[in-house]
Amino acid sequence: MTRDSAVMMMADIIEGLRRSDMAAAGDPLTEHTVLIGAGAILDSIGFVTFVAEVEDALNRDRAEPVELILTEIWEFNSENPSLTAGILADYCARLLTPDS
Amino acid sequence: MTPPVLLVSGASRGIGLGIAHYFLDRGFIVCGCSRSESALARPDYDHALVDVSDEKAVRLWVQSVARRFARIDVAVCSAGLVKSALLLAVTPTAILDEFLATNVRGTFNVCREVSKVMVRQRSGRIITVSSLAVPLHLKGAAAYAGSKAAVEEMTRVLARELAPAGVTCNIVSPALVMTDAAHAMGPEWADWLVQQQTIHRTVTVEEVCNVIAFFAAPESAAVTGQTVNMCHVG
Repeated sequence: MTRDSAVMMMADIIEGLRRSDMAAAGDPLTEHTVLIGAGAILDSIGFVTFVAEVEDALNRDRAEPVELILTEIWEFNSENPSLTAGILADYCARLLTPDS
Repeated sequence: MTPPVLLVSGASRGIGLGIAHYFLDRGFIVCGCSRSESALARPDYDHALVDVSDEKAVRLWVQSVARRFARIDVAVCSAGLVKSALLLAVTPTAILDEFLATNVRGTFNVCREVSKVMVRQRSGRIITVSSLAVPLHLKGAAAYAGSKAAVEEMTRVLARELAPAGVTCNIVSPALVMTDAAHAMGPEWADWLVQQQTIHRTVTVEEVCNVIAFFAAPESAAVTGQTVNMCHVG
């Protein structure tokens, strides 16, 4: 998975959540979209739903499941959570790189 | 109509096994797990060998259940460690670590994975199992009761977190149930414990399941963050 394909995957997930009224309507997701933190497009439950959807998408057709461990993303400061789609896309791409 | 799906940890014996039987009798699909094999072989029952303190194993188990049935309606965190203990002053730290691993870490792992499924489906019931050792402040139970108090607090926090998603989280704190683990503690201990309770008798697994069934009922959507202490006036 490349960074760009990860961003596209997340954009699809956000649109799906919006269609299900699980996320507020808004602009299409880009790498700069804030997922959690100041100016985020998701509330806390929406973020949990989003993370579960991303995990599900990453694990589709994989024998060995992967899990998003937010503290592994060095840019993600758990003391003051703020995460953009681009940072998460980098992490997803790294996660699915065979030698990562 | 599709039968509801109930997931229960610690299902090979004791209260967990009783929960599996009780809900199978009421038309549920039940998916249980434990560290050891289960002798339970009934239609609509599926068992997995899972140590709940192993987060990866729990994740795989919960994901497999969610994929197979496309939902999880009720999750009961029944896996727990019960063993005789000494006064805190002479309790080895290893005993505390065992209680924390199974009771706290195990419940945490199951709750986390189940939460993700239930938040996505915007409904669900999570029920954790505590102990009267918490409100009774039983001597010799510092490690055990401490771990169960952590389970209770974790459940109440989770109840607040998941309320917006339509998921309820509640706690059943059974009075003494004469499981194999309770028998192993000896009759003197059982008699002493029953005398600490407000209602001086043991309870059956079915009575515990009745409380769980109340929390699990669709009509209980407005009940969350609550503890039922059986046989006890707090």
